[in-house]
Amino acid sequence: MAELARTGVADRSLDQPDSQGAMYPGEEGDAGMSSETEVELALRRDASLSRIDRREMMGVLAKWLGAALVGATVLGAGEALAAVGGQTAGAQRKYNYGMVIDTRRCVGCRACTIACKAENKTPPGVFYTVVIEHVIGVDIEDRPTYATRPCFHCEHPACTVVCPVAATFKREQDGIVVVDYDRCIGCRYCMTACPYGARYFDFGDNYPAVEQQTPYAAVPSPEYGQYRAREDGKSPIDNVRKCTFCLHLQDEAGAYSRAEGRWPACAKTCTGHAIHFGDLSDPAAEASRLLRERRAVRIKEELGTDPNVYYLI
Amino acid sequence: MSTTPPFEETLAEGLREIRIRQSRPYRALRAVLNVTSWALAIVGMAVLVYRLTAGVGVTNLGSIVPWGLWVAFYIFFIGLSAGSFLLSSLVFVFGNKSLEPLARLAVLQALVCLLLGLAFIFVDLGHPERFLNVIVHPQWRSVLAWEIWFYNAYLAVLLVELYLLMRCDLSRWARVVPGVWGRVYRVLALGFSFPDTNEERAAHERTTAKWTKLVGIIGIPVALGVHGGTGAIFAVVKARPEWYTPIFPLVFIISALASGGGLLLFARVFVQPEPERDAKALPLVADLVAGFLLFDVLLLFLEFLISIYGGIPDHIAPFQLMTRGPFAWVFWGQQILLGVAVPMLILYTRPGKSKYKLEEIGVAGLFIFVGIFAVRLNIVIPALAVPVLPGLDSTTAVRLASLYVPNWVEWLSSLGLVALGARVAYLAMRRLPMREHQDWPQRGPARTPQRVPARAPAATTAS
Repeated sequence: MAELARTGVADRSLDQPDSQGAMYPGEEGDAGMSSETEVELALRRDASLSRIDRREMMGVLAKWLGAALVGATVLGAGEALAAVGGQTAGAQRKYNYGMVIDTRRCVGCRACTIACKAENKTPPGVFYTVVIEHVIGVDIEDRPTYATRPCFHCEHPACTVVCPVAATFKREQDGIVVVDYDRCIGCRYCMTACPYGARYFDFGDNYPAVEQQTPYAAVPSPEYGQYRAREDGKSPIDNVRKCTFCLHLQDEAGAYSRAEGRWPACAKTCTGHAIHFGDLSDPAAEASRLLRERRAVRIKEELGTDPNVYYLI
Repeated sequence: MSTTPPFEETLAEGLREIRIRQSRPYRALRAVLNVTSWALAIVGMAVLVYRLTAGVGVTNLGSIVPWGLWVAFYIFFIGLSAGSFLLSSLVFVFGNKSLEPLARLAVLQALVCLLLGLAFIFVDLGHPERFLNVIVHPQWRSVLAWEIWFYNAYLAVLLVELYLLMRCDLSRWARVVPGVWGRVYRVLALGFSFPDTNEERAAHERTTAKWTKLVGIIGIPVALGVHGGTGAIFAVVKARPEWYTPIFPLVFIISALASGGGLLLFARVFVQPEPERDAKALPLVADLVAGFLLFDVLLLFLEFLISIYGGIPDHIAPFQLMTRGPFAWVFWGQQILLGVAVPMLILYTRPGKSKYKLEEIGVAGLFIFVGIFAVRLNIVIPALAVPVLPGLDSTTAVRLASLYVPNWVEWLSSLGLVALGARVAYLAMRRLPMREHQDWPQRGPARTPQRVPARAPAATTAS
């Protein structure tokens, strides 16, 4: 809070240094000198303020300090809340991963769904991406419009704010919305809150290959780089699961590489080249270029979730 | 307290009750209820153990309808609890003396229902062993995280209130009751000693009134937070248009008052002995409950009206499902017919009679709170059964079905918890001083005179 207050005061004083100097002529004596506050030190560091006489400044400070403290507290509280909601997370964000899905190129083959299942080894009833028909049909006489629906990794996710234990959150470094399987209590509140149905509960069901303990059953899911063995009663069973943009394929710096095959499975496999994954903050990325050149929509934008997955129409 | 009824009347009513209690249908019903409640409680606990070891996979829940019967029971019992407590505050905070005899029962009911509600949400968790995470790692933007603290505070309020109300009688009983129960009362009295002189007693009653009022005043916002907040858990979910309305927390509170009052009427008339002692207070509560019920119907009407007028497909869909879907009978049959129409008819169409009959009030109360359970089901399930994007659900994959029907695990565990709660409440009603200056209950039937004719009045056989 001290830090926030400091910023608040500095900003205020910077507004109108000259007029303030004229309005508050200095008094005799140097009352404030003995107790130099951090606020004062911070102000002194600012070269633009060097013209103001210290005594004048103390007067200004005395006037503004209270107001600024209150203001900064309010702003700080708001900022803290916003930060939890991911609104200022962009500041320290290194990557801003997203997808641009071309509905004109999607043929509805559902290879993305299968590739995702193969990559993440999701159990029956858990789909990180599904192909939906007619969601963004432009004209009723058009052929069916298909679109794959991964998690949108929203800028302001509706799912993370409802989690009572902060088990699901938006990662600061790349904006991917993740679930901490060891924290999640399995209340399923986030599933009701996601406007896109991107969350699935792991009810512990298994495909026959796992049920019959074939060699396939021994291969763990690479999700989150955790390689968890699938055991009854152990996470991720009885947890909520969702698309991670295959973040286990990132390198240590958090980057994907299409050339090395470290690329989300759905985008890698898409037969029609409809799924364009990339860092949306990188103007050179294919996804960014498509966003500039083509017309894109996002689903349920009116809810203010600000999805990072766009659909080209 | 109002004027004491003439001795003859009291005697006649007392004899009538004894006659009822000795009648064959009454004893048969009692035996049936005892056996079924114990059987359900035992079977239910076994099923719960199965559920807790085998995971949520043993239910019929899925990823389209992730909340089902247990969540409906959870909000039902939290509502019953908050409603009962708010009714009791009429006595402690607003000084309504005519309802005073029902106050302890209301607080006890609030306590048992709160514990049941918490049990239901515990059972619903995928990883119940991690439930302490909500305290260790709270995420303060979640309504659920706030609710946990509301529930904790509310639990404290209820325990303190109940103790303050009972400590005098408990310490009195601790002196006279021999054996195990005497020790139990001594422990429950927490060192409180019954005042010996009349002056001390009067002073004690003034202090207790002051403290119960204080706790009641603290309790009102807490109870509103408990159930209004439970409503807010739903109301903040912008993904579900049926829930995402500022009216929702209010709906929760009003329906809580109706259901809490309904249960209070039922419990006082049919479970706690000698209901005719409260023949003055019960009709008052019945009128209050009927008022809340009608207010609840008004709110429901507004929800329907606005969704239909707006015509937004996602907003209309849950209401269509409710009224025309496969479970329309829950809405028309249980919520509207049994939950509103029947109790209203029972309470307010009594041709040729001017006085409430207690049995009618009790039955109306039963219908009202059973009807509110349908309200709870219709809050939780239809909103979820409409997929947030068309085509997310599947008719072939069980876990992706939009049609959710609770299975035997969910039903048996729920009925078991309810039965267990009923047994605990019944035990407390029999063994704790639930009425002011009540004598310690010795075994009832042994005290009853043997010469009373065993014929039951016709009206009570149905009960």
